[in-house]
Amino acid sequence: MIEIHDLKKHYGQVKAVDGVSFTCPDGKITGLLGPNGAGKSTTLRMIAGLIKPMGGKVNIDGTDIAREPVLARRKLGVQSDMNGVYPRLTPREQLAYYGRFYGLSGQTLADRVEATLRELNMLDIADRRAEGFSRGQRQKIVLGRALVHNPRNILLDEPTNGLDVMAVRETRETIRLFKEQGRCVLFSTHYMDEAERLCDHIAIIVGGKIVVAGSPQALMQQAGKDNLEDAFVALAGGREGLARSQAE
Amino acid sequence: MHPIINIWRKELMDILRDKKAVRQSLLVPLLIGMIYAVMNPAFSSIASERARAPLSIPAQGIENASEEFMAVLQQYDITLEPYEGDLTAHITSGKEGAGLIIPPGFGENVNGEQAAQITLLTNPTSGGIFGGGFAGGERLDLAINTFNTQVAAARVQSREMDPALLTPVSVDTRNLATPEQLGGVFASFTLPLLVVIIVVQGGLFAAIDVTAGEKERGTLEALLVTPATDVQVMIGKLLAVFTLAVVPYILTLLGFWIAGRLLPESMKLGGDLPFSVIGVAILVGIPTALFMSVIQMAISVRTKTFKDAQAAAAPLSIGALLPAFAAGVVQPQSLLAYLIPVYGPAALVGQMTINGGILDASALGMVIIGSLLAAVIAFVIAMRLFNRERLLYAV
Repeated sequence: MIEIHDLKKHYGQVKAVDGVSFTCPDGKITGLLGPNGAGKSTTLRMIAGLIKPMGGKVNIDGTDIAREPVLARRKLGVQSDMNGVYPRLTPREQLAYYGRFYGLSGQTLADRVEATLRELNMLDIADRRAEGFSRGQRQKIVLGRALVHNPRNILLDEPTNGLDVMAVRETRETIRLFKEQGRCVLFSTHYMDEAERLCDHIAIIVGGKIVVAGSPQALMQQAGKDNLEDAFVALAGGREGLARSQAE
Repeated sequence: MHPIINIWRKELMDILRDKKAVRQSLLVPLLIGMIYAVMNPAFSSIASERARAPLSIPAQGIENASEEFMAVLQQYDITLEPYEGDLTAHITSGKEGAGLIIPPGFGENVNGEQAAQITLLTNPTSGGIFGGGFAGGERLDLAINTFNTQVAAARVQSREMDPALLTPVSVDTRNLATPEQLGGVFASFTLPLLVVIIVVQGGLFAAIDVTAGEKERGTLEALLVTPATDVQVMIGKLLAVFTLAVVPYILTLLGFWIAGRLLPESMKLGGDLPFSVIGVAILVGIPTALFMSVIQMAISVRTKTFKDAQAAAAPLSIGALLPAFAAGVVQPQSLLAYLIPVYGPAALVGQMTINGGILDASALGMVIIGSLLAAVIAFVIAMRLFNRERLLYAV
């Protein structure tokens, strides 16, 4: 479970994240939605321990990431939006490299790498160097390295961004699988249909603040719209609100 | 596996799979060392060969010279070749290093104890540094002086006086340079430069690849969300850079020494560099490589792309050579001067090449302490620069 309480991050006069609080329970998919510049990535980076919050708290399965960053990171699998891979290493080598950071070694490591490769349907490319891989294949490596240590909590920053239809379907299936496995999934996306299909709970962030949170159905009901995209626009303050948020 | 070892191992495997990196980190230093192994003794012996080789000098008025004069020239292995045309222009053009104009009546004037003048034209720039223009003019000058002395002695003797009157001070010059010292004349200036070039060259690509390269590939964020701490990430990467700076360096110097041993004696000016010089060069090169690796990482860590890092690190390659050049010109005036990174190691290696491999142990100690201290200070600075927020998002 990921618990975020009153998270703050300012850059000079700009309040990138201003008192964000929400909880991502186990066995559920929580979506963090918002227009560009709303504070989604900054929030996710603070949860991942990449950025130090100016205030507030992030607990990963009860571990405060500010106080015990190493322990908290062990409980977390992160797929960031900077989804590069090592072109001169094979997917198997890359997953093993990341697995070792989490204390895996020997046969346990080899088994976990093999299981992750199988889970992500990567066995056919497992021993090829990643140079020349398609975006979808690279995305699998990125997901694989976030999962190789079998974390209970998974953070995904726009995981389907730029992927083709087949890769998007595969990634969504994988995210559903995480939920079935009882993991806690927090992900951000720009695709409202994706959020509507996948998420159990959605938090909409605008101008660094959570403006509304609830299930997709509850949000649509609250906005009086029959799809999440319209509900999102309405709840985020309409076209003017979105434009203002992006300008800020 | 400890995160530091994990990062070190991965970086080495990753970099060594890159042909460009292997070429720049391993092959280029090895090639420089091999070329140097051949060029060092060759350059050292060229001047000596030039001094010993028979000399042919273009001359005008050869028929005016006396037999005695020609005999002295012969003693110095000098032959005069008749030259038609403007000899001054010919020598000025640098085509030859020396020429001689013997005016009419020169032989008769000398024999008749009259004033006799001869014109010696020289151009030391002829043929460049190793062209022999300087050596040619010098030998001809020496031959003429010898002829002068002989004539003067004969004249004094004919007046029943002791020729020793002409030389109140006779100089007994003995060349005490050992073959090792002779072999080290050229190396005393160039070996310290080689040390710095290889140390800088070896780790440069790796330093850029593990920092700016990681950022450019978009893999840095993924690394920083692992349980590895910033210090572990930095040390793991630094060890990889250091390994890629040190291993080629040691191989190059060993190769250089072995190649020097295999060269024919005729190319070596009678001496080899003692192994102690190579040994100390390796010893002082290791902390210097550590210092350079930290500096290279500190520079590259704040850049965003490989190209940016290359541009930022380029002045370092030149800047690192300056203290090594300085060591060839200004010798350390106190033991403390050996603490200066790059300068200290370069000065110590330079001195050892020229004094036949005799080691000043206290200077060696100062060099190692100085380089390690500088590496630690540079590492602390690099860690301050390695701020994950600024590093990732330039805020």
